[in-house]
Amino acid sequence: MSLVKTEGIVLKSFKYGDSSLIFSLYTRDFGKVKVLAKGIKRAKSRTAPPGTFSLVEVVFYKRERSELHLLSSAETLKSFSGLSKSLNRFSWAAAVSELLDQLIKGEESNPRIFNLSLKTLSRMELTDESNPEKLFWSFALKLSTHLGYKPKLDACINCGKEIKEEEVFFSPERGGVICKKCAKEDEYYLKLSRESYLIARKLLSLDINKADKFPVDKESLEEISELVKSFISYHTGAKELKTLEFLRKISG
Amino acid sequence: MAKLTDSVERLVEELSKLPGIGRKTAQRMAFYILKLRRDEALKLSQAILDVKDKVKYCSVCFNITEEDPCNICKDAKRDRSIICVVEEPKDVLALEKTNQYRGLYHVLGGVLSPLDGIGPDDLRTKELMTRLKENVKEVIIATNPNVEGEATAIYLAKLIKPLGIKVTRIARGIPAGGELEYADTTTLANAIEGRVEF
Repeated sequence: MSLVKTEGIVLKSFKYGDSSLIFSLYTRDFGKVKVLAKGIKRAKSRTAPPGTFSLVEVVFYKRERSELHLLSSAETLKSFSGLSKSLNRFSWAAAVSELLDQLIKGEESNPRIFNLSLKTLSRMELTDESNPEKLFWSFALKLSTHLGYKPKLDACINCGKEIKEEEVFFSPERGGVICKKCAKEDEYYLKLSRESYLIARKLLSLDINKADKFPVDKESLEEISELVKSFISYHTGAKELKTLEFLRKISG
Repeated sequence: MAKLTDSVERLVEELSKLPGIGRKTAQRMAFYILKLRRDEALKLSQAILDVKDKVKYCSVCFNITEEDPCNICKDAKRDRSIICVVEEPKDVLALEKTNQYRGLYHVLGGVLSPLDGIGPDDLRTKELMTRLKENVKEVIIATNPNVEGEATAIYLAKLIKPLGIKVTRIARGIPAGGELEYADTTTLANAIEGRVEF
């Protein structure tokens, strides 16, 4: 058992007994870890329980034979309190943490994912009220890229030629867009309008801090969300996020 | 392995379902009950039955109660123009212990939580909005000061403010008997931000 120090984002916390909490953290140096914070809810505890989404500096005893480590101390570096300012923002931030929690399985460090997540949450805190959704889909596309499943959107996945059609076919199974010539009749494709296709490319390639800087209409966002969802669930087996279901419920 | 008799075994099994009670503790409790006089054991079993049969939610504030409306809602001495919104019945209990607050309560029954699928419709928000029609001047939002509690507070404040009712949030800061040196940065920052004039 060794004492280690790192930075992490709080993805989730669960109650453990009366006064303890278990935190699921995405850390810079160890990937996703679970730490037990004994007695942290007591008034006498010298560490305040960090909130969901906050960036914390944690010191914990890393156990070799168990997946649950023991928290020694946690200091909040950035609480992202602006994320609770509206239900919409709060829910999309929850979607970021849920997607991370679902797609990242074990303790493996990936600084690029860590930085991406941090940037996404920072941007979500400050952006206009209508933007968190765009940021989320951009985050999801970039996250799949860093996990090794980058969708091919710049050219046909079969012949490599540029896509010029008005209606664009996307194959979740083959992980990319396909031109009309190469498309097969018996394969399943999602159809996107040209506009949605171009926006999806931008959301994938632009820096997350710029992903909210151009207007996207509702239909395109809907098409892009279908693309990302089907692609991610095909390649990772991830289930539909509870937060997305929740967002549908509160908007409908 | 030697087995307990069937009825003792059943009791141990039921007791070990209680929070924080493992098999060993359950066994100790079972043996204690075994030694109890019959009338004492009856008292215990009756008490369990009573809470199940008699306790219900107050139809006004949704606190737990045996009479509907509850004692707090019925009390004519209490200030009916202030409503304090809390997450759970146990929060009412905690606030009542202070003897500081003389208004009414409203128990939401939880907080907004996208990850658990809990939205405004799953909380008693509609019931709260209905109550606000009756000459309420102030709503104190006393959800817990964490991310979910804060989001819920802001959501409620946005709903209530347009009605022209004063909305306040409980203060956060240094606990009584605490020392600044040991307080965490978030709490200290909140204490400074929420300072009050002498």
